Amino acid sequence: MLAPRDRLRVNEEDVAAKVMDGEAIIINLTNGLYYSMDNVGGVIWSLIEERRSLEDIAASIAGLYDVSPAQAQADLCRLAQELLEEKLVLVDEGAAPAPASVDAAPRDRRPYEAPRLQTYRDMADLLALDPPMPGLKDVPWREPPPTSAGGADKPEDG
Amino acid sequence: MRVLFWTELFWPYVGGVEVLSAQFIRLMRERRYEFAVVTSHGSLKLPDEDRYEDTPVHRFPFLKALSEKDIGQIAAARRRLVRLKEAFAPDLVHVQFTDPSILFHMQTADAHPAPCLVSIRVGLPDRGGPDTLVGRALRSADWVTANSAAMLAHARRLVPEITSRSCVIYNGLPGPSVALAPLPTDPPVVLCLGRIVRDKGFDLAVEALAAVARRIPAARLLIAGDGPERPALERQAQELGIADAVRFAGWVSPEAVPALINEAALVVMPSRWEEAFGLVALQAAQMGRPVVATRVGGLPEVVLHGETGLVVGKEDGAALAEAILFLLEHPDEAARLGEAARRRAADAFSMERYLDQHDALYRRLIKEVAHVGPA
Repeated sequence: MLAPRDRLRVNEEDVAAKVMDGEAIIINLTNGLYYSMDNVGGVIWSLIEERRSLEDIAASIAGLYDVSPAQAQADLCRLAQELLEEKLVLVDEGAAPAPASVDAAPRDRRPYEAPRLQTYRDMADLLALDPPMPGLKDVPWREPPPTSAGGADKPEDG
Repeated sequence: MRVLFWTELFWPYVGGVEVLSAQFIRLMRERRYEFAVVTSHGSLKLPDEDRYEDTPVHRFPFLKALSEKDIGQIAAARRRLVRLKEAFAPDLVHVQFTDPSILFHMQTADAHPAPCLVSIRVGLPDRGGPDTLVGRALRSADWVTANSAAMLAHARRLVPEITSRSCVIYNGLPGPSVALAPLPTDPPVVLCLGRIVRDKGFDLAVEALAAVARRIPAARLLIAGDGPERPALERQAQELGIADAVRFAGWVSPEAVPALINEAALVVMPSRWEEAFGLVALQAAQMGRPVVATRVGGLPEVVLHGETGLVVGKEDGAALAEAILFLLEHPDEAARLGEAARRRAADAFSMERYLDQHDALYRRLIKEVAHVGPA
């Protein structure tokens, strides 16, 4: 059971992740599972990367979004548990980082939507649907003939 | 109207789907659509930015980035895709769903909101829950098409919510460019055409030919295509003592396919996997050839048992041999089935119908699906 003062850290040995345009994209390198979290989830992932405590993260979320601190805390705990179960994060037992600067609460808080970890468990299945044929050689680059494409061998035929 | 056309492979690849896509774009442009193609490099070293005729082609390493789990490549591809969507501002995104690259479209949908048509062109995996890409992709689509009723039924089983916004659009092909030749009897040639991979089941055709040759020694098997299983097939033919009766034609260009089919008395498609459609069966039908196919995926919709060919159970070499023997020993019946196949191909699988159905769907989606662009 996680406590408010607990901190999480990204499971960097097994996980590659990046926050792009507010969306966290996360890949578990050991099993190839792919995840994403947008909006509130993207912000939370960034704060986890900063090794902020759960109560600190919840306070930041409640400051940024139109949500009560209690609701932000509850949603965060549920999400943190999920991230732990998927082995995307670990409980951080190390020394606490230097205190983060306090987020200035924006004048207009953004609409809140509970953070969700989106999981794509079939990525490997889809990648294996129709593997490219091995041993294809490069073909000369040439203009397409008027009636048909001209070039390389086919990987599927519909 | 601008359409972002998303397909795993495109020119210069010349597989059935790639050629169909190129023809589709060329003919739809005559109906005043403007296309940009999003595709991959495949296994070749191809430029990121290119043009096919007057259509821009943008190649992205989507599958490479995903399979290598390379977050940097994923980020770069995504940023480039956002720029493309903002610049092209499509009225519609049409994704050929054969692989997981659709994830990149879904994750950049906000860059330029537009209705999304997802066309299933491959047998999807058996999971469609909310924790799968298949489930999310189909649920997020404004409309879903499949190229056979079997593929559509499977997709609807996986994601029942799409039932009211999905339909079948069968593949279509332009008419053949060469005149039909009579079915050859001396020697009677049986043709297998496609990639030589295990899923295509060409080994079952070799096994069947050995049985056929015991009753019809002159029978020949012509295998056209290439692939990793070719050496195994050559060994198999030698071990069965029919090496002289099996000819490997290697890779055949799309332009040469009709003439190749003209050499055959019948075409065999002994596939093991769930063929989404089976373009080769349609090409054979266009040339008036009966097809012996396995009961997998959409194949029995293209090959009607007893009407345009014969359908047998998969992995059943004996049944395959019996069906081949029946057609070779009853040339009048083979010709009747072939002619029925040709008529049906011209009617049910014409390119005109294929274009009309897409045209109507494109217009409807662009008109009806109201998306509000970014402020």
